[in-house]
Amino acid sequence: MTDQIKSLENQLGLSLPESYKRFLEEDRALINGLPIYGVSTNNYDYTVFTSTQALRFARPELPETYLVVRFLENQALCLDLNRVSNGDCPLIEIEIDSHENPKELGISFGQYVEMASQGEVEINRALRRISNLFKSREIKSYEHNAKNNKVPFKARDWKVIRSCVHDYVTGLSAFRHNEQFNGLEVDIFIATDHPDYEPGHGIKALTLLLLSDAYKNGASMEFRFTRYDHNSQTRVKDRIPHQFANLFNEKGVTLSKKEQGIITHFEAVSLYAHLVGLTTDVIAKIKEYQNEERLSLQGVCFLISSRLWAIDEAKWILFNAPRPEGILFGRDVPEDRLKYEESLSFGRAALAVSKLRHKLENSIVNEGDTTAQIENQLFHIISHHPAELDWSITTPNVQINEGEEIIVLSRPRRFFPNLSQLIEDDLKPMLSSLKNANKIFLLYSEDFMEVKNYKELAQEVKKQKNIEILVLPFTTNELDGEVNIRMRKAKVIRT
Amino acid sequence: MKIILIPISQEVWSSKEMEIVRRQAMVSARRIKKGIDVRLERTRFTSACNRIEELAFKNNSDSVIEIEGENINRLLNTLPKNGDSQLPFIEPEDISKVLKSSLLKNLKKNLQPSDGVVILVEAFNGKPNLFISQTKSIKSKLNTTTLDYSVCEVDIETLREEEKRFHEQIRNSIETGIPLGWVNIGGEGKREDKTGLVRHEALITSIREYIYLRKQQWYYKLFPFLKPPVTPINVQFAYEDGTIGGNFPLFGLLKDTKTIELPTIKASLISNRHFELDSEVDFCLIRNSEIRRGEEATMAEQEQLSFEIVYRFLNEFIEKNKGLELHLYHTGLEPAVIGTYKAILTILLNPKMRGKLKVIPKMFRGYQKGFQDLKAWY
Repeated sequence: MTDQIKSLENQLGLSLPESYKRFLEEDRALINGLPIYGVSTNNYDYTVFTSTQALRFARPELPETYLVVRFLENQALCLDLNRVSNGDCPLIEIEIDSHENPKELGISFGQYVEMASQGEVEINRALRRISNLFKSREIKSYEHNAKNNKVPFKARDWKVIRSCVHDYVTGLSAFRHNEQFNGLEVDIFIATDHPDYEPGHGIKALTLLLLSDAYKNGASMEFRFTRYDHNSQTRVKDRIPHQFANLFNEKGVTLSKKEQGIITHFEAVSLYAHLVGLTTDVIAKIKEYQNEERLSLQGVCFLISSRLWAIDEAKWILFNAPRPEGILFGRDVPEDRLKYEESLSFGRAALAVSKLRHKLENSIVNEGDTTAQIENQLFHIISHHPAELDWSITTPNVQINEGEEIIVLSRPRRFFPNLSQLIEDDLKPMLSSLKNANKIFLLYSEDFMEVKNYKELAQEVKKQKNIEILVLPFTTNELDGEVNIRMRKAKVIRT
Repeated sequence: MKIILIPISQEVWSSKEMEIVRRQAMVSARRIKKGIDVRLERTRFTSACNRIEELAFKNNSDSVIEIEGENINRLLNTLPKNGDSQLPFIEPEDISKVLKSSLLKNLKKNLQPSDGVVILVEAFNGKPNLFISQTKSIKSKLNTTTLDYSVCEVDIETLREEEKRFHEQIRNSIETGIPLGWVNIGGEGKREDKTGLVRHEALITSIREYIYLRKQQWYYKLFPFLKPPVTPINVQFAYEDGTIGGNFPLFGLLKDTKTIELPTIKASLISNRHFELDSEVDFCLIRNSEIRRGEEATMAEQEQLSFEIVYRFLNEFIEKNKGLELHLYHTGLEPAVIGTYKAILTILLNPKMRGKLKVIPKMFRGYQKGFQDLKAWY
């Protein structure tokens, strides 16, 4: 190997750091399940020589002291050999198809290998514990092609969950619903991040999965961490994993029974609300409804976490609809026509704004994110990129600048009786915002175009109030179909 | 919230379609109460109620009664209920009962005992003060359609019964806004009130007659550079499960006689349906696994899904290859056929795409005759 390393150094005209040489001599090829290139291909497409040459070819303007140890899509993970110190050097990331400056990752190659080794120890420990669960027959097995098509698991049986992002394992857990304390008993909990996503997403995803399971299966959301003790041959209390406990600290939730390995119901609910992104005003509103026994905080979290409703849709409905439980949890049924129609109208209004945001996010001009805030009945939407909107009746293409706030009142309806009065009523909630915003929109469904003289009406509104009428390319029937499916799915979830 | 009451005269109340949809709503409400096919019946109930409201609004939007605030509760307490169901209408025979028990004096003034009443909900606006107001004149009216079928190249009297019936359905839908399939025109006996569409072949050949712009003013022919205004008339399709699909634009295309060379592709509509097609076609537009009706998908959703898949494909293909002549081998499934042709029409209606797409429907005529070309869509 020493000869091969020397030959590589000669070919590249570089001197390799000790940390990388050690890695090569140990004959390793993977870190955190991802490849690290060496002198031979090891079944990968590249060796460290060919990958470094590829980078030099793709980014000739960069110094030749970057040693590429991995390509992941358009990102090259490199050792910066210009800054070798104590036999180690910093890791950087370079985009091969752009002229972006190299990005510092804040750790050295040696530290990266060390962290991965520690991670491996933890993973092996977790795998051993899972293996023990199987050995002690606490996990039932089944075959996917079993004829009776029944999975023999009950909530009370141990189950192993592997959470993945793009085939990359980011979390591993084993848990069951324990009927003795009516909560979730957890044996294993380890999580990591996918390199392409924001830090902390792996643990957040796995925690949400556990919290949702706890909500689905138990009346209480209490968590207890336990392990199997071979000496006493019973399950005993275990410590709460550091990364899990840290998550509570980050969100400002104090753990009162940390020593016993217990997370209480209220602590779990509090974390659930923070993780799904509920703000304090929304939590306070939900608690008002909770006091009236109409819905629960954990129930709303479950709906958002299951993506039945987007967070802004749920928030708007909570603050504006007279019976939010009727819509969010689908408690209003079609055969109670009048109540159902009312609920459907609010669900449709919230959905219409999501469609508008989707349109802005996928604008022909540019793609990117939007954020929304809710003020009474109005949505304040900020597009974080320049966008173009072709839904206005009066202006063919409304230009939205980057960071510009638009105000939207959503009123998709099927019928327009007493139209002039109706529009006047619709405009009322927007009048106070007229001075503060440049672009104010009244959002109708396609049905508005059935109204005679709709163009003249829209022009009149634009002229008198400077408010644009937008028409969604969806009819109320189409929006209702989508809301109806959500209500139907939510109906089986307890409030 | 406001409740809007629309009085309906006895004559309209007992019209054929009103009767069918009211009966559908009541039958579905009864079946829901009994727990029979609840999901399906809820969809049917909703569609029927939507239709009742549309008919009522079209018939009499000039004279509606608005109820707000506490009066809503007073009214709701007096409304007849069908089990746990609240129907969006009051039968003429129940009106006098409602008027008798209602404390709303103004209601008595504005309703005739022989009227039926349809109830609409205006969810967003409502005033805290209590009153009943009657709006005398409403400026808004739905677009009324003038009858002109000069674009239709066939004499429907000479057609087979099935095709003729479908032409009648299309024209009825254009004129009244009734979704195609709601009333099985010409059906007899047991089929009279059953929703029904004709076979997809008749559907495609018949509806094609209505896709082009109707008779134009003389000056558009004299000065071809003057482009006539295009305002398509939308029709909708009602399916057997009670759902209603999206808008299908008719009378929107300018006749384009230009013929240019386009890259040709042979495609079947849905995969896995007719294996004998596999050797004929280059690929399938829609995968059977995508479109098959699972637990959740209604037929209207199948239509929308087909539309989205085909629209995306056509759009991308035409952009990349500057055009497409699509030989479309039919495989059946009404909502998929309708969704697909809706996507084709949407592309054709885009001025930037005009002349770049030609679709030749291919229909199976038995193993000896093979596939026959129908009139092209372009």
